[in-house]
Order: sequence, then structure tokens, then C-alpha cells
Amino acid sequence: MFILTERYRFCVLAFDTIKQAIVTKSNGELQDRIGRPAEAGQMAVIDPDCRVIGLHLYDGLFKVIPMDPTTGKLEEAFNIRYAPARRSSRLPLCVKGPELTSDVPTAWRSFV
Amino acid sequence: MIDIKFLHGCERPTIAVLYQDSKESRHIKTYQVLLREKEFEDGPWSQGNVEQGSNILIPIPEPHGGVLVIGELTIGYLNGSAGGTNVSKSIGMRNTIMVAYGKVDADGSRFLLGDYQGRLHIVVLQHSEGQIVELTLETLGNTSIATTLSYLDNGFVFVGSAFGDSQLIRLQPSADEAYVNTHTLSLIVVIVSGWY
Repeated sequence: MFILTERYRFCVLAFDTIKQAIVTKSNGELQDRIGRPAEAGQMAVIDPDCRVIGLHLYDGLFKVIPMDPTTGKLEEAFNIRYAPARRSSRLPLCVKGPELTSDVPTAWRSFV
Repeated sequence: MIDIKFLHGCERPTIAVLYQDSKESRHIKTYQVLLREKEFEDGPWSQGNVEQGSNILIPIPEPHGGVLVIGELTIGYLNGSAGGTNVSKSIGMRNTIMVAYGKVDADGSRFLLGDYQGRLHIVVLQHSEGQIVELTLETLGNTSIATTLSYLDNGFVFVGSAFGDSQLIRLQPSADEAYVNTHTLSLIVVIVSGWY
């Protein structure tokens, strides 16, 4: 079981059938020095074939932890930068020009 | 970025990403994760302009693969292969916001969905000859507002809730009775810290 905390720490827990106890297989920190915390909240996804763990912790970055599918051993994490969708909370741009002169009321037009 | 899920049955690790653009339209793109190059490569398919209220992706296990896209008015099934045509099926529903889902069958032919009002629904993917041909949605009953839904076995479902009491419920197989048997309801209180 993979657990990620809001403070960017993670651990992998497993049940040891011989010891009859829960053991920590791996743990560590995933915080980056720079980056804006993800607007939509932290997300963690695991490949169904156990090849990678994917994390969305900062906007515009997808963090990958490669994993050995047979042993479950984790390798060093790296970031993939992707073109982020532009922020939706942008201020509406108010344009008053001849190209926008239409029947649309001004208040509506400012949000086009 | 609204949701990310790994797809099943892909040669290389592949994610499906549901995101919103600056015009508040929502789209789905797939990317392959290249471990050696530490890069993304465009995945097998993509779908622009999915329903505007789409907020959850549910990956469908093999042999079908693909994703369910849960919106506020529709549920859609999307799949595609490199260079091939996209497969898409969708159904409408009463306006609602789904907040949790849980897989019922290992092959992913039924999923439980919980909405923001605590209604429990089930979506069934009907398949014939290896193809998903139809989706159906049925409302089962009311529970606490679900944060997580886990199908256990024999019709038992754990409804984990951060807003109310968590419940253990049993789904009734017969259509004559209420689907959710609230008699076997046992309350297990979940203590949630101040984050909610």
C-alpha cells in the first residue's frame, strides 16, 4: 500500500505473512524546492502493471517513481514537465473595440 | 488538471489526463511515460471537448481497457488505439455530481458511483464479442455521502464517508426489494481531522 501525505512524505507498507505484521518496505520524501502546489490537489496513481507510481504534486509537473514490477523496489523519482493547461482563474480581459461591437451586452462581452 | 489515471493493458505505462483549458472546456489526452528518456510521448488516443462537468476518470481493466468519463449529465466510455478510431458510448443521467466510485467486478463490468447527495448508483458496461456495446445506469438508494466506495464481496459494500457515518451496506439481488438493505447497517465513525 502506497501512502502519500500532504507534506510530501510517502511510504510503502506491506503485510509480512511470516512475521504476521505490517512492515515498511520503503519511505522517503518527494518535496521539490520549487513549484506551485497543484491547484486541483495532490493526486497519486499507480500503474496497473506496477511499473511506475505517478504523482501530481505541483502544477505543470508529473513526478514518476519507477518501480520493479516483480520485487516492488522503487527507483529514484524524476519529474516530467508538461504544458500545463492555462489557469482558468485568469482575470477577464475587457476589450472595447469595433470588432466586438455586436448585440451582446457589454457585461457579457467582457467575459468572452 | 482535474484527474489522472493509468490505463490498463498498455505496453508502456500510459496515463489518461482530464484537464480544463482557459475557455473552461474539458479534454482528455493520453500520454505514454518513457522511463529511459524521462519524457512523455503522445498516447494512443485523445478526446477533445468532453462534457463540461466531467470530473472523474475510471480506468477499465483488461480485456476492454479505456476509461469511463463521469460528468454531471452524462457518463461516457472512451477507448482507442494508435491510428484506429475512437470507441465512444455514452448515456445521460439526472443532473448530479459524482464524488466517489468503486469497482464491483474484477473485469470492470460494474462500478458503484456515489453522488454529492448520498445517492448510490451502479453503472453497468454491457459487452458482447469483446466490445462494450451499451452502458446502463441505475440508482440503488441512499447512503451517507460517500468519500470512498469499496465493494467487499457477496453484495457487501463499505461506504466510507468524511461527512457522515461510514456504513457497511448490503446490496439486494432482487429488484422487488430496496436495493440497499439498511438493516445490516453498522455505523463505524471515522474521525477526520480539521482538513474537511
